[in-house]
Amino acid sequence: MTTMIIRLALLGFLVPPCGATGGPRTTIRLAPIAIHGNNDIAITAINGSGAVAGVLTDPAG
Amino acid sequence: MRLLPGLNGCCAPVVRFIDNLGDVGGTNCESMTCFGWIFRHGKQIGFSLGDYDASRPSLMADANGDVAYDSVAHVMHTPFMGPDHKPEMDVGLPGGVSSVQSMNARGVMAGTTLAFFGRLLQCAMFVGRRGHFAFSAPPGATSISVGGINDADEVAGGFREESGLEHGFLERHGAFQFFTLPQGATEVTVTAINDAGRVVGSYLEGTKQARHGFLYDNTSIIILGAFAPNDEVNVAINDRGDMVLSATGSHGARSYWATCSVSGC
Repeated sequence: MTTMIIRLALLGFLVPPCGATGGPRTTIRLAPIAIHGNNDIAITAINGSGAVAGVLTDPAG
Repeated sequence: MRLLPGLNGCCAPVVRFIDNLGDVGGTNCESMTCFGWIFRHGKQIGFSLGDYDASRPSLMADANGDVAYDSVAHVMHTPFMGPDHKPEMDVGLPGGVSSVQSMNARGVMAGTTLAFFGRLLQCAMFVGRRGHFAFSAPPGATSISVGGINDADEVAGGFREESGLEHGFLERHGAFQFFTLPQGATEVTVTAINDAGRVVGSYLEGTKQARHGFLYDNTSIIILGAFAPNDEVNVAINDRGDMVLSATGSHGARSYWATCSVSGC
Protein backbone atom coordinates (compact mmCIF):
# COMPACT_ATOMS: atom_id res chain seq x y z
CA MET A 1 0.00 0.00 0.00
CA THR A 2 1.37 3.40 -0.91
CA THR A 3 0.12 6.92 -0.47
CA MET A 4 0.61 9.57 -3.09
CA ILE A 5 -0.06 13.25 -3.14
CA ILE A 6 -2.28 14.14 -6.04
CA ARG A 7 -3.11 17.35 -7.79
CA LEU A 8 -6.21 17.24 -9.85
CA ALA A 9 -7.82 19.77 -12.15
CA LEU A 10 -11.48 20.31 -11.55
CA LEU A 11 -11.94 21.37 -15.14
CA GLY A 12 -13.08 18.60 -17.39
CA PHE A 13 -15.34 16.85 -14.98
CA LEU A 14 -18.78 16.10 -16.25
CA VAL A 15 -20.53 17.31 -13.12
CA PRO A 16 -20.26 21.08 -12.72
CA PRO A 17 -19.15 22.22 -9.29
CA CYS A 18 -21.69 23.94 -7.13
CA GLY A 19 -21.31 27.68 -7.17
CA ALA A 20 -19.11 27.78 -10.23
CA THR A 21 -21.62 29.92 -12.05
CA GLY A 22 -23.58 31.29 -9.12
CA GLY A 23 -27.31 30.85 -8.84
CA PRO A 24 -29.49 29.14 -6.25
CA ARG A 25 -28.04 26.35 -4.20
CA THR A 26 -30.84 25.11 -2.04
CA THR A 27 -29.89 21.49 -2.64
CA ILE A 28 -26.40 20.15 -2.83
CA ARG A 29 -25.51 16.66 -3.95
CA LEU A 30 -22.26 14.89 -3.14
CA ALA A 31 -20.77 13.14 -6.16
CA PRO A 32 -18.13 10.51 -5.26
CA ILE A 33 -14.67 10.92 -6.72
CA ALA A 34 -12.71 7.96 -8.02
CA ILE A 35 -9.47 7.85 -9.95
CA HIS A 36 -9.01 4.84 -12.20
CA GLY A 37 -11.51 2.95 -10.08
CA ASN A 38 -9.79 3.80 -6.81
CA ASN A 39 -11.94 5.81 -4.42
CA ASP A 40 -9.63 5.76 -1.38
CA ILE A 41 -8.89 9.46 -1.77
CA ALA A 42 -8.74 12.28 0.75
CA ILE A 43 -9.05 15.57 -1.11
CA THR A 44 -8.69 18.35 1.41
CA ALA A 45 -7.76 21.47 -0.54
CA ILE A 46 -9.03 23.49 -3.50
CA ASN A 47 -7.63 26.65 -5.07
CA GLY A 48 -9.22 29.56 -6.87
CA SER A 49 -9.06 27.85 -10.24
CA GLY A 50 -10.80 24.75 -8.95
CA ALA A 51 -7.68 22.60 -8.88
CA VAL A 52 -7.80 20.25 -5.91
CA ALA A 53 -5.15 18.31 -4.02
CA GLY A 54 -5.21 15.38 -1.70
CA VAL A 55 -3.85 11.98 -0.86
CA LEU A 56 -4.52 8.85 -2.88
CA THR A 57 -3.95 5.47 -1.26
CA ASP A 58 -3.07 2.80 -3.78
CA PRO A 59 -3.70 -0.70 -2.36
CA ALA A 60 -1.72 -2.23 -5.20
CA GLY A 61 1.27 -0.03 -4.54
CA MET B 1 -4.22 14.44 -12.67
CA ARG B 2 -0.69 14.86 -11.52
CA LEU B 3 0.99 12.60 -9.01
CA LEU B 4 3.58 14.34 -6.92
CA PRO B 5 6.68 12.54 -5.69
CA GLY B 6 6.43 10.23 -2.73
CA LEU B 7 7.27 11.43 0.74
CA ASN B 8 10.28 9.77 2.28
CA GLY B 9 9.18 7.64 5.18
CA CYS B 10 5.93 9.48 5.28
CA CYS B 11 2.90 8.20 7.06
CA ALA B 12 -0.60 9.57 7.07
CA PRO B 13 0.08 12.66 4.98
CA VAL B 14 -2.63 15.32 4.83
CA VAL B 15 -2.75 18.06 2.20
CA ARG B 16 -3.37 21.41 3.90
CA PHE B 17 -3.45 23.75 0.91
CA ILE B 18 -3.09 24.16 -2.82
CA ASP B 19 -2.42 27.77 -3.72
CA ASN B 20 -3.25 29.60 -6.92
CA LEU B 21 0.22 28.85 -8.29
CA GLY B 22 -0.54 25.16 -7.93
CA ASP B 23 1.90 24.64 -5.08
CA VAL B 24 0.77 21.99 -2.63
CA GLY B 25 1.57 21.87 1.07
CA GLY B 26 0.79 19.43 3.81
CA THR B 27 1.80 17.72 6.99
CA ASN B 28 2.36 14.28 8.35
CA CYS B 29 2.86 13.13 11.90
CA GLU B 30 4.64 10.14 13.31
CA SER B 31 4.22 9.51 17.00
CA MET B 32 4.54 12.97 18.55
CA THR B 33 6.60 14.52 15.78
CA CYS B 34 5.12 16.31 12.80
CA PHE B 35 6.67 17.36 9.52
CA GLY B 36 5.63 19.87 6.91
CA TRP B 37 6.30 19.70 3.19
CA ILE B 38 5.65 21.86 0.18
CA PHE B 39 5.87 20.95 -3.49
CA ARG B 40 6.91 24.10 -5.25
CA HIS B 41 8.34 24.60 -8.73
CA GLY B 42 8.80 20.87 -9.07
CA LYS B 43 10.81 20.59 -5.87
CA GLN B 44 9.90 19.30 -2.46
CA ILE B 45 10.76 21.39 0.57
CA GLY B 46 10.54 19.51 3.84
CA PHE B 47 10.86 20.82 7.37
CA SER B 48 10.19 19.72 10.90
CA LEU B 49 7.27 21.09 12.85
CA GLY B 50 8.84 19.78 16.04
CA ASP B 51 7.11 17.86 18.76
CA TYR B 52 3.41 18.26 18.50
CA ASP B 53 0.62 17.09 20.71
CA ALA B 54 -2.32 18.12 18.58
CA SER B 55 -4.04 16.05 15.94
CA ARG B 56 -4.31 18.81 13.39
CA PRO B 57 -1.15 20.83 12.84
CA SER B 58 -1.83 23.83 10.66
CA LEU B 59 0.06 24.90 7.58
CA MET B 60 -0.96 27.59 5.14
CA ALA B 61 0.39 29.88 2.45
CA ASP B 62 -0.36 33.43 1.43
CA ALA B 63 -0.36 34.86 -2.08
CA ASN B 64 3.33 35.69 -1.87
CA GLY B 65 4.32 32.13 -1.19
CA ASP B 66 5.07 32.78 2.46
CA VAL B 67 4.11 29.90 4.68
CA ALA B 68 2.93 29.96 8.27
CA TYR B 69 2.57 27.05 10.61
CA ASP B 70 2.47 26.44 14.30
CA SER B 71 4.22 24.00 16.54
CA VAL B 72 3.70 23.21 20.15
CA ALA B 73 5.18 26.36 21.63
CA HIS B 74 5.56 28.97 18.97
CA VAL B 75 3.80 30.75 16.21
CA MET B 76 6.11 31.01 13.27
CA HIS B 77 6.00 32.81 9.98
CA THR B 78 8.54 31.76 7.48
CA PRO B 79 9.35 33.11 4.05
CA PHE B 80 10.38 29.91 2.36
CA MET B 81 11.91 31.72 -0.55
CA GLY B 82 14.72 32.82 1.76
CA PRO B 83 18.18 31.32 1.43
CA ASP B 84 18.09 29.11 4.48
CA HIS B 85 14.37 28.46 4.98
CA LYS B 86 14.89 29.43 8.57
CA PRO B 87 11.59 29.99 10.38
CA GLU B 88 10.97 33.32 11.97
CA MET B 89 8.91 33.50 15.12
CA ASP B 90 6.24 36.12 15.08
CA VAL B 91 5.99 38.43 18.08
CA GLY B 92 3.11 39.99 19.94
CA LEU B 93 1.42 36.75 20.95
CA PRO B 94 1.65 35.04 24.32
CA GLY B 95 4.42 32.48 23.94
CA GLY B 96 3.64 28.84 24.41
CA VAL B 97 -0.12 29.15 24.32
CA SER B 98 -0.86 30.56 20.89
CA SER B 99 -1.78 28.59 17.83
CA VAL B 100 -2.04 30.11 14.36
CA GLN B 101 -4.74 28.24 12.49
CA SER B 102 -5.32 30.17 9.31
CA MET B 103 -3.77 32.84 7.10
CA ASN B 104 -5.18 34.81 4.19
CA ALA B 105 -3.57 35.91 0.93
CA ARG B 106 -2.20 39.08 2.55
CA GLY B 107 -0.49 37.13 5.29
CA VAL B 108 -2.95 38.11 8.01
CA MET B 109 -3.15 35.27 10.48
CA ALA B 110 -5.92 34.06 12.77
CA GLY B 111 -5.80 31.60 15.60
CA THR B 112 -6.41 31.08 19.27
CA THR B 113 -4.54 32.01 22.40
CA LEU B 114 -4.92 32.61 26.11
CA ALA B 115 -5.26 36.31 26.84
CA PHE B 116 -6.30 38.64 29.61
CA PHE B 117 -9.65 40.43 29.25
CA GLY B 118 -9.48 42.83 32.14
CA ARG B 119 -8.31 40.60 34.98
CA LEU B 120 -9.77 37.45 33.48
CA LEU B 121 -7.54 35.01 31.65
CA GLN B 122 -9.55 33.29 28.97
CA CYS B 123 -9.36 31.63 25.61
CA ALA B 124 -9.53 34.15 22.79
CA MET B 125 -9.03 34.39 19.09
CA PHE B 126 -6.53 36.70 17.46
CA VAL B 127 -6.21 38.37 14.09
CA GLY B 128 -3.13 40.14 12.80
CA ARG B 129 0.44 39.81 11.66
CA ARG B 130 3.96 40.87 12.40
CA GLY B 131 3.45 41.78 16.01
CA HIS B 132 0.15 43.59 15.60
CA PHE B 133 -2.73 41.47 16.79
CA ALA B 134 -6.30 42.10 17.93
CA PHE B 135 -7.90 39.77 20.46
CA SER B 136 -11.57 38.97 20.96
CA ALA B 137 -13.86 36.16 22.06
CA PRO B 138 -17.50 35.18 21.67
CA PRO B 139 -19.34 35.95 24.94
CA GLY B 140 -19.52 32.93 27.21
CA ALA B 141 -17.15 30.82 25.16
CA THR B 142 -15.30 28.14 27.12
CA SER B 143 -13.25 27.06 24.12
CA ILE B 144 -12.68 28.47 20.65
CA SER B 145 -11.32 27.12 17.40
CA VAL B 146 -10.57 29.09 14.25
CA GLY B 147 -11.12 27.52 10.85
CA GLY B 148 -10.35 30.24 8.36
CA ILE B 149 -9.72 33.89 7.56
CA ASN B 150 -10.57 35.40 4.19
CA ASP B 151 -9.05 38.32 2.36
CA ALA B 152 -11.49 40.75 4.03
CA ASP B 153 -10.07 39.60 7.39
CA GLU B 154 -13.36 37.90 8.26
CA VAL B 155 -12.70 35.01 10.61
CA ALA B 156 -14.84 31.89 10.94
CA GLY B 157 -14.65 29.30 13.66
CA GLY B 158 -16.46 27.38 16.32
CA PHE B 159 -16.90 27.76 20.07
CA ARG B 160 -18.35 25.86 22.98
CA GLU B 161 -20.61 27.43 25.53
CA GLU B 162 -20.82 26.38 29.15
CA SER B 163 -23.78 24.07 28.49
CA GLY B 164 -21.60 22.02 26.16
CA LEU B 165 -23.42 23.06 23.01
CA GLU B 166 -21.23 24.29 20.20
CA HIS B 167 -21.90 26.95 17.60
CA GLY B 168 -20.19 28.58 14.69
CA PHE B 169 -19.15 32.19 14.50
CA LEU B 170 -18.23 34.74 11.88
CA GLU B 171 -16.18 37.68 13.13
CA ARG B 172 -15.95 40.88 11.14
CA HIS B 173 -13.54 43.40 12.62
CA GLY B 174 -14.56 42.76 16.20
CA ALA B 175 -18.30 42.14 15.62
CA PHE B 176 -19.50 38.57 16.03
CA GLN B 177 -22.26 36.84 14.10
CA PHE B 178 -23.29 33.40 15.36
CA PHE B 179 -24.89 30.43 13.69
CA THR B 180 -26.25 27.26 15.25
CA LEU B 181 -25.98 23.90 13.59
CA PRO B 182 -29.02 21.59 13.77
CA GLN B 183 -29.47 18.37 15.72
CA GLY B 184 -27.90 19.60 18.96
CA ALA B 185 -24.52 19.82 17.30
CA THR B 186 -21.29 19.15 19.13
CA GLU B 187 -17.72 19.06 17.86
CA VAL B 188 -18.33 21.94 15.47
CA THR B 189 -15.29 22.35 13.28
CA VAL B 190 -15.04 25.13 10.72
CA THR B 191 -12.59 24.22 7.97
CA ALA B 192 -12.71 27.24 5.64
CA ILE B 193 -14.30 30.58 4.75
CA ASN B 194 -14.16 32.05 1.26
CA ASP B 195 -14.05 35.68 0.17
CA ALA B 196 -17.84 35.73 -0.22
CA GLY B 197 -18.13 34.92 3.49
CA ARG B 198 -19.39 31.38 2.96
CA VAL B 199 -18.36 29.10 5.80
CA VAL B 200 -17.87 25.34 5.60
CA GLY B 201 -17.06 22.72 8.18
CA SER B 202 -18.42 19.72 10.01
CA TYR B 203 -20.30 18.81 13.17
CA LEU B 204 -21.34 15.77 15.15
CA GLU B 205 -25.00 15.21 15.91
CA GLY B 206 -25.85 15.53 19.59
CA THR B 207 -26.90 11.88 19.59
CA LYS B 208 -23.46 11.01 18.16
CA GLN B 209 -25.11 8.96 15.42
CA ALA B 210 -23.53 10.75 12.47
CA ARG B 211 -21.14 13.48 11.46
CA HIS B 212 -22.11 15.94 8.74
CA GLY B 213 -20.47 18.53 6.57
CA PHE B 214 -22.16 21.91 6.37
CA LEU B 215 -22.25 25.12 4.38
CA TYR B 216 -23.32 28.37 6.05
CA ASP B 217 -24.08 31.05 3.46
CA ASN B 218 -24.79 33.87 5.93
CA THR B 219 -28.48 33.03 5.78
CA SER B 220 -29.00 29.34 6.25
CA ILE B 221 -27.28 26.06 6.97
CA ILE B 222 -27.07 23.43 4.26
CA ILE B 223 -26.13 19.94 5.47
CA LEU B 224 -23.63 18.04 3.36
CA GLY B 225 -23.99 14.26 3.67
CA ALA B 226 -23.97 11.92 6.66
CA PHE B 227 -20.86 10.03 7.72
CA ALA B 228 -19.69 7.75 10.48
CA PRO B 229 -19.45 9.60 13.81
CA ASN B 230 -15.72 8.88 14.14
CA ASP B 231 -14.85 10.07 10.64
CA GLU B 232 -12.86 13.22 10.15
CA VAL B 233 -14.87 15.31 7.72
CA ASN B 234 -13.15 18.13 5.87
CA VAL B 235 -14.89 20.57 3.55
CA ALA B 236 -12.85 22.88 1.33
CA ILE B 237 -14.28 25.84 -0.60
CA ASN B 238 -12.73 28.33 -2.99
CA ASP B 239 -13.76 31.89 -3.79
CA ARG B 240 -16.03 30.75 -6.63
CA GLY B 241 -17.94 28.53 -4.21
CA ASP B 242 -16.59 25.24 -5.56
CA MET B 243 -16.53 22.69 -2.76
CA VAL B 244 -14.95 19.31 -2.13
CA LEU B 245 -15.63 17.15 0.89
CA SER B 246 -13.59 14.27 2.30
CA ALA B 247 -14.43 11.78 5.03
CA THR B 248 -11.58 9.79 6.52
CA GLY B 249 -11.93 6.96 9.01
CA SER B 250 -11.27 3.29 9.62
CA HIS B 251 -12.74 2.52 6.18
CA GLY B 252 -10.10 4.67 4.48
CA ALA B 253 -10.94 7.94 2.77
CA ARG B 254 -13.71 9.04 0.43
CA SER B 255 -14.01 12.34 -1.39
CA TYR B 256 -16.88 14.09 -3.13
CA TRP B 257 -17.58 17.04 -5.35
CA ALA B 258 -20.38 19.14 -3.90
CA THR B 259 -22.69 19.84 -6.81
CA CYS B 260 -25.94 21.70 -7.12
CA SER B 261 -29.03 19.75 -8.03
CA VAL B 262 -31.11 22.73 -9.08
CA SER B 263 -30.91 24.36 -12.47
CA GLY B 264 -29.01 27.59 -12.65
CA CYS B 265 -26.04 26.35 -10.66
